[in-house]
Amino acid sequence: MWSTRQRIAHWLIHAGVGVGVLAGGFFIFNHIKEAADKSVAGIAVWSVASLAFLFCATIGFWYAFLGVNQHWESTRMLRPITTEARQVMLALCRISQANRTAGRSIPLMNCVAVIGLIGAFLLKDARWLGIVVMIVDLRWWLWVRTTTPPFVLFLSTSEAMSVERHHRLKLSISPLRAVSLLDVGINTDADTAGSLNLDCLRTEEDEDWWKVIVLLIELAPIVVINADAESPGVIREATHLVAEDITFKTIFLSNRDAPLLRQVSDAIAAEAGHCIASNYRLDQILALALNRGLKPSRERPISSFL
Amino acid sequence: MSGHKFDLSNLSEGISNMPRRLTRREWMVDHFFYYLQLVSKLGFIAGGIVGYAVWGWIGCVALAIGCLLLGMLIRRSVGLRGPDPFHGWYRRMRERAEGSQAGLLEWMVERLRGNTFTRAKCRAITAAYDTAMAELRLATSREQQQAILKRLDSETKRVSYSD
Repeated sequence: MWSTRQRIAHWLIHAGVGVGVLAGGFFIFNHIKEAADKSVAGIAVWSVASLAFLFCATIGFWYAFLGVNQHWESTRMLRPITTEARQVMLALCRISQANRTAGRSIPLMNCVAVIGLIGAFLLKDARWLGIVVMIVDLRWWLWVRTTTPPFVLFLSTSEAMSVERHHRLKLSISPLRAVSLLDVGINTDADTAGSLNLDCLRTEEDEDWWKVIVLLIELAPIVVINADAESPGVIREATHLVAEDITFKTIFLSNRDAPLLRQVSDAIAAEAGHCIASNYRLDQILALALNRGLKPSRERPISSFL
Repeated sequence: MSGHKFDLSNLSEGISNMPRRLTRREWMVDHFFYYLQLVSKLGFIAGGIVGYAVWGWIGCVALAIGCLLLGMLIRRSVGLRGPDPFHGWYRRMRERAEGSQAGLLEWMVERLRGNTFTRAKCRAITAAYDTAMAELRLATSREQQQAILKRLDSETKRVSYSD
């Protein structure tokens, strides 16, 4: 599903980190003899400090690359990303379960950065700045990761299969964002739940749920709704999409005959213009949109992509 | 994605079961409280660095241990008990209900927040906790357990934020 541009970015990230690690290792190897004192303990301390610097700097650059990659790709697909859209995403992150990861990690990062600065200034050793570099890069990545509007909004009931589907969507359009309001804590393995931490904007307060749905539908260029689900929540979401005439950017994901549409109205279900897609067809549509940089519009609805 | 005006004013603060919105002051003190917890855990590293810079290796070890002990004191003073923050907090409420005085930092945080845990409040919170724990032992499904914990959370917050 990745575009050529994405593949190149992916390989550049790996190559950049690899070259950085090799160069750092070579530098340490070359300078190990010039350690402050020639005792075994002195050389050991110098080596550990240098390796720690290399480790922190590598992690930092890795995340900086990830942030830049997501920023560029999202800007290419969603342009323009307004400041207001970023503010909305930040607000949604704050009121959702994503804040358990994002919100709590920021004070921790600040404290670790202060430790790095204390080390650099008091010990007069620039290697401590590796920690600061890592934290600055992590903060940048986290900012991009949490404030970038989604490319795909996935609406479904909170079942293990839906969480798995969201996870596959996220991987297939990475580094663009696919967000949902699913409860990832339900029957999901820890790895999948962990990787969706920042993309499941499930609200802490039930009363926020609908407001967040409406905002995300407005922001996301593509809405994927599980049309095999028939829960009251999903029916309300589908009714909103139809009533507000947002079906031009909606993919009704169904491996049957989209029973959700019949729940909305028989007349709506009988209309031919809706984009009803199986998992396979959904992947094809998204691949096409990514490769050609397409966004659905009223003039060019998503049903016309294939 | 341009030209829209998004209304965020009607969103909640993202804290579940809150009887009212946090004031700016409460929000800031909560952040300060979180930083206190972090400093109590990570302060020994900074202490070790400062100790090494001033007195060498001996200073490093001495100050790191000193800051570790200070961290433990801070955690005790701020009212944190045990490794589990959830049960630890209710443990502290039980201590306060039984007449224990607020720790220095605990008192300071409550003063700054403008919201004191009186003995009556602590008793009500402890009673709600005991009821919830008894119900939890009898609960058989995950949904039941979640409902009990949600009730406990609501009741705790209702009592905590009452005058």
